[in-house]
Amino acid sequence: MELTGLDLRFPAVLVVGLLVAVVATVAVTRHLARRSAHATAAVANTSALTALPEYRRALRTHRIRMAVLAASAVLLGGAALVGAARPVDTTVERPETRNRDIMLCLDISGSMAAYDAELVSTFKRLVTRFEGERIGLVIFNSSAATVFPLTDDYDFINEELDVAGRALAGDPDLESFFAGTFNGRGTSLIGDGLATCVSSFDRIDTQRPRSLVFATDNHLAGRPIIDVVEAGELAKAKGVRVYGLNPEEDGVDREAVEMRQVVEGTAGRYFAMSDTSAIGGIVDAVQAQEAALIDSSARALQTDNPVVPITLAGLGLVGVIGASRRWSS
Amino acid sequence: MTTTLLTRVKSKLFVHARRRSRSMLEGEYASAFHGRSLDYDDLRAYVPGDEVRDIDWKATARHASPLVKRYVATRKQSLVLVVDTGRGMAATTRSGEPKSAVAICAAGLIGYLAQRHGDLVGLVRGTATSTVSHDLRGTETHLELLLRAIDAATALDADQSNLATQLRWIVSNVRRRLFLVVVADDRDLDPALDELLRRLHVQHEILWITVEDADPTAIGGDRTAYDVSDREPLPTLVRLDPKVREAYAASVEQRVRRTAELLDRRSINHARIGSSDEVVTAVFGLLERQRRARR
Repeated sequence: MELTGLDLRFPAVLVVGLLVAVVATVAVTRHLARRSAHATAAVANTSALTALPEYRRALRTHRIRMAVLAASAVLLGGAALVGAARPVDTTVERPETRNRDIMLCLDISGSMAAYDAELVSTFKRLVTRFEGERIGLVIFNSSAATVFPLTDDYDFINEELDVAGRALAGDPDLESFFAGTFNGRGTSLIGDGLATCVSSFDRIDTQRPRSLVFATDNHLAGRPIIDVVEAGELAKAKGVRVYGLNPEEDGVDREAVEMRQVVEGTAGRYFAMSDTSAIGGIVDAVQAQEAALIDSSARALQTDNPVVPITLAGLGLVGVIGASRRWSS
Repeated sequence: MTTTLLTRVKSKLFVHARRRSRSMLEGEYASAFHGRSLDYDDLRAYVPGDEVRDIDWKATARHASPLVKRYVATRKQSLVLVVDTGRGMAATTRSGEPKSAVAICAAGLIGYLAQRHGDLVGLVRGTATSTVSHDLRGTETHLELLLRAIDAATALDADQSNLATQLRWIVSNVRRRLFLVVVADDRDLDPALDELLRRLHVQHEILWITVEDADPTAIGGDRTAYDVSDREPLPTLVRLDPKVREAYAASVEQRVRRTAELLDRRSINHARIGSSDEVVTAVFGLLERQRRARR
């Protein structure tokens, strides 16, 4: 978003207004000249009057008054004209910045319990790297629950991530955080979780870059409705790129290999949690993807900004009234 | 011009005063300008305004009505109208007429009275830079020509006014004794003019008529007032300012008093006229004072 400064919506008004002002001035001047040519009174020896200090004082006041009146009238007229031309602030918006949807998908099964708090703080750091994107959080165990849907309210996101962090660290007051995650058959149904996360993107009909940060160890414990590979196919079908984030407590095991295959099958990338480049890698990958996907045509957003002309016109009006009134009692 | 200027002057006299007071004015004129000498000429009927002591009581006793003595030495006087015809006199006077109209009316009235009385009437007129003098003659046509000369010369594009030029001309060109009727612009009499008056008064008899200027602070706001000398307009709002008006009124009062004091000091009779309607009254008062002063 960038500000390109004051602009006029109807610049023609200025031209027309100036023309009208010039014509009116000429007409008034001519009329006054004609009138004064008709109604004059020749007076002799006015030096007796003009030499009076009272006259000089009155003349000085009169001249100042006329100068203020003229300046105020010009200010008022000019400001009114500029105001009529509707000054606008033009802001150029780059639409792709608000077009990214990023879903954070967190496995809270027992096997992940030791890592969840850390993952949440990783998410938090991840969030600070984005700006303008919509971010949502889904947690899953035997079933998935949406903590917060896609939103660009970053204060809210940070607040919710803080709550999640405390809940996952074992805060007994926040048991309700896990509500809705034990409805499936077994625990840690990875495929169901991923499928739910993939389904959590809204506005499916619009072409938007969608990314999913999938934090899990991929250790299945139960019978999922959809397995991880099928969920990966679903993500692929919906154009969702999945970025895997694995704590890899047991090193690169079979599950890790499977997970890498799944996420890379969706054109995403796989990171071990210990990998310090994980966050930067995800951010870069997301942004690189958007750049490629979005036709970044800048859109100008114009908002009326009449503050300056209205203020000046007000000053001019005050000047006109003040100068044309007789203050002497 | 359908009516002659003199006719207008006369009509002023008739409209303003009835026949009786007209002859009274003539009497005033005679008493003001014709002193008594030892050379008795003839008798004429008394008209109001004549000096009571000029009445020939013996002749009156023989006659049914009062008779007044006339004296030979004073039969033919020379009256010279000294009129400013600069652009200052083309300006407006208090009544809204041009000042020259008032000047013509006043000069015409006195000239007419003089001519009726058999005196010779002449004219010295001019501006700050030039002076024109006209012959002394005793006919109505001549007086009319004089008035027309004043009327034609006084214009807004004429030269500036300065009566000192005409008075200086008289000082250096006139040797004989004259009755001067000075029709002057409304301005302060400076020391140079005072000195001229002193010298003139030794030789001549002087009546001083000031034609008032319009009060610029009283001219309506619908008209633009400007000074005739430089055509500089006076800002309407400034001249109509109540404080300015007050100060101007005070300054005018002072100036009038200064002028009156100066002329009184030189024992010159004077009047201020701001409208042609006031001319008859003002001239009457002027002649009345002149008569009393001579006694």
